[in-house]
Amino acid sequence: MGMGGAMNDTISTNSGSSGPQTLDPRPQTPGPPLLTVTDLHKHYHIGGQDLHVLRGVDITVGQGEWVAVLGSSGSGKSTLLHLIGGLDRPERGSVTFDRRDIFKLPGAAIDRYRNRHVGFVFQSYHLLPEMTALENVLTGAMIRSSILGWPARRGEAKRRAIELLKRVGLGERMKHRPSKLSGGERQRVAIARALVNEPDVLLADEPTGNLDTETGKQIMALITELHQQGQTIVMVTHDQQIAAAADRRLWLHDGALTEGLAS
Amino acid sequence: MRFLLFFMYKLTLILKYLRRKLGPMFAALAVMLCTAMVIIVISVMGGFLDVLQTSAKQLTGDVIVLSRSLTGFAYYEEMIDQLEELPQVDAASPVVTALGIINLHGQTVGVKVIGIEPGGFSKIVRYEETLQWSTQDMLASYGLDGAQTSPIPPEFDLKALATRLDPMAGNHPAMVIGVEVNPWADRDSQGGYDFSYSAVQQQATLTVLPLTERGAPTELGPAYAKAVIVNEFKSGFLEVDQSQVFIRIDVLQKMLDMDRKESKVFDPESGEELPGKSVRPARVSEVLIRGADGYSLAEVHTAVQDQVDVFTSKHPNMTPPRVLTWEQLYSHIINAVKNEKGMVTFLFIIISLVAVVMVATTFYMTVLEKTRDIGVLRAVGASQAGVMSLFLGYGLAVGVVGSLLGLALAVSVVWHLNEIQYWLANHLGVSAHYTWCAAGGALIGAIVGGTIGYPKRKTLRGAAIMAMLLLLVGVIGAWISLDQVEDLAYKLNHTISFKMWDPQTYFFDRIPDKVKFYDALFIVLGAILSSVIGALIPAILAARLDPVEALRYE
Ligand SMILES: Nc1ncnc2c1ncn2[C@@H]1O[C@H](COP(=O)(O)OP(=O)(O)O)[C@@H](O)[C@H]1O
Ligand SMILES: [Mg+2]
Repeated sequence: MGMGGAMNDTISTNSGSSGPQTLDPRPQTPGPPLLTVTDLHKHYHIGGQDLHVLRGVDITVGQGEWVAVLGSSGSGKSTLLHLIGGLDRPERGSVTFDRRDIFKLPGAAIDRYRNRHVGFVFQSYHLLPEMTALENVLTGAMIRSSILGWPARRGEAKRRAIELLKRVGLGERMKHRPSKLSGGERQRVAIARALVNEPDVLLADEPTGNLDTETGKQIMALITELHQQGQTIVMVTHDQQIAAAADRRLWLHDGALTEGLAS
Repeated sequence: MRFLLFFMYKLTLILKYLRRKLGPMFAALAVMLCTAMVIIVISVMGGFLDVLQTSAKQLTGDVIVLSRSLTGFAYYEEMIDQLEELPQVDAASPVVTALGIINLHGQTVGVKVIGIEPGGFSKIVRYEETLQWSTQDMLASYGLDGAQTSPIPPEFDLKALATRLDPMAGNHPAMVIGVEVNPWADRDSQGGYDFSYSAVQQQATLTVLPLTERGAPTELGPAYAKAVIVNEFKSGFLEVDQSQVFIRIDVLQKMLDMDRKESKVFDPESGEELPGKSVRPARVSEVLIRGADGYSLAEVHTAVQDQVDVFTSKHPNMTPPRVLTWEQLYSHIINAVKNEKGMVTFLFIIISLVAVVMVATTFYMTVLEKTRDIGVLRAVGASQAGVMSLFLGYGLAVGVVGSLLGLALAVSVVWHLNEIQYWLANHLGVSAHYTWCAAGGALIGAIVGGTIGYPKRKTLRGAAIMAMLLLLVGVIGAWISLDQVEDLAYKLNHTISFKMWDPQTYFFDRIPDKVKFYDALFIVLGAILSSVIGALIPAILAARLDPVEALRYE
């Protein structure tokens, strides 16, 4: 997909990896680094108190890799994910994507980064209640298209959205609004929405946190399948069982990451 | 440039929000009512001003040469000849005015008596069209078919008589009176007249007070004459219809001792009659002038003023008369209405501010309600400018929808204002069940609104509360109305509706019922602008929301 923008050239070569050609099981060796998080610091100031949530976080996420970040509630997992997704700004440190620190990009480029290169999945789905499942999935595509450009893009975007909804098993519920869907179905719509612009990395924040065990397993199966098809994933969770499916598990503890530390 | 592009998600969301959000629906409703109200008021006011100006012009012509004294000025024939030679002047006609008393059907009323030369007068002033009765009407009132008796002999043709103002029978001069001069004039609630009370063909006694050239009452005392009323006129201008009567100028001049008089000349020493005669020229009160086509009112006015100046310099004994345009002559009324129209502009500003505040508050509520969704949009890639223009566009949409609905409402109200007025006059306060209907309607509306409203408990509860409130208002209204609505409606009708809107005591007999294109356009654009301005602060707030906080917001 040729679209203007600073980061596209590199991405368009990568985006092929989410295609169906990667049918082989999960890659044993991660591809070249896609994202590098270096010395990330985040403070919160509440009532004169300084809360140093992230105290120098480093991660390297390889192309096609599935990284799980584990940590107890309040350890700063969501904060980390928001920073990686360019939704928040750190006090110190960098997130390097495509050889560039996203926090040094102008505002419009960060918006574009969120729109095209990352896809968020939240614990409580966060679908837009007025829109149908299909329209929710299309949101990301509509955000990148002007009204004038839409008629030309619409067919392709819609085709992809429908394909995604079918892939997450909601082919029959495209015209339903979120209020008519179950929790698991909502999360499937949210996953389809995150994938509509073929992002380089899927950022999932406790994707099963609001679901019962059985539904959570189904969502995990879906994420596993996406990973097998080559999707790079960064997932945060407090649940070790959920994290077990990932290639790599990191522990967020006292504001820093440690590899594979079991406790 | 990019942020100027209108991105697709905004359109989709705006359309969704427009249909599903109750708050902005109320904002659109408020914009609609504000727009409708201002358009209605400005249309009626503007129309009223137009009618007033047209009537004033039609009653006096373009320019009037006006004596400064009741005793009038002389040499007017010479003045008229000179004026009519001006290229700026189409026609000029003399008029004598006097205060008078007429006795009709045994009732005595005060009038302004206007002496005219009917032919010349008609060229300047709308006169013939204002005549109320034709002979056909008259015959019909006696149960006779006009067609059977035609052709009507000229001496019985009311219109012909009125346009000549000839003596009708014997030596009595003919007179045309304003429909409201007749003390028995009676109108129904629509403003129509009951012919059976017409004064036509009645005799009336006209009394005027002749004055000497110096202004003292003459030794002869009041002059009176019997006159036959040959027609009535209805100019549509209540003040005029109530107080004016027309009679031939020469008849009035004679009664007022303003006619031309020749008298013998005596030697003051010897008392012997000298040869030759002394002539006292005839006098008039006014000369009415119609400007020629292609000249502006100011040009006609200047030309007439200059000519009158030349004229008075040749007659040193004469007090120079005033030269006024119709606008100056009626400035007291016209300016009053213009001021009122100015007040409407002020009202428009206030109402626009009301619309701004309404939109701002409902949009602020919407931003609060949609905080999490704004965070979602940011997470999916919407920019700050995008979120801001989403809400501005939403404000624009609310403004466009509201103001166009308001325009439609205003146009349908204004076009039917006279019918609505008539209906109100006849139905308001008749009984209480209209209020009950209103209460029932409110209840049904609230239930329907609540049902089709967004299926969210909060909104449903809001609709239910709304329904209860409306029901309460309706019930209280109905309860009050049981014994008081009639009284209240009567009072409202007589305090709020201006006197001029009541056809029974019209100032003008019809409420103006035209909406001017540019007025409407201006107001609609103003309403749209107000909505966008109202949406501005909420839009900025929405754009500046921290997306992370917004996503945590519940
Ligand atoms: N906007 C904020 N203001 C103040 N404190 C915050 C804010 N957001 C998060 N925190 C605090 O930062 C810590 C980490 O939060 P979070 O990243 O949500 O943790 P997790 O996702 O691991 O549960 C928590 O103690 C939380 O209370
Ligand atoms: Mg969290």
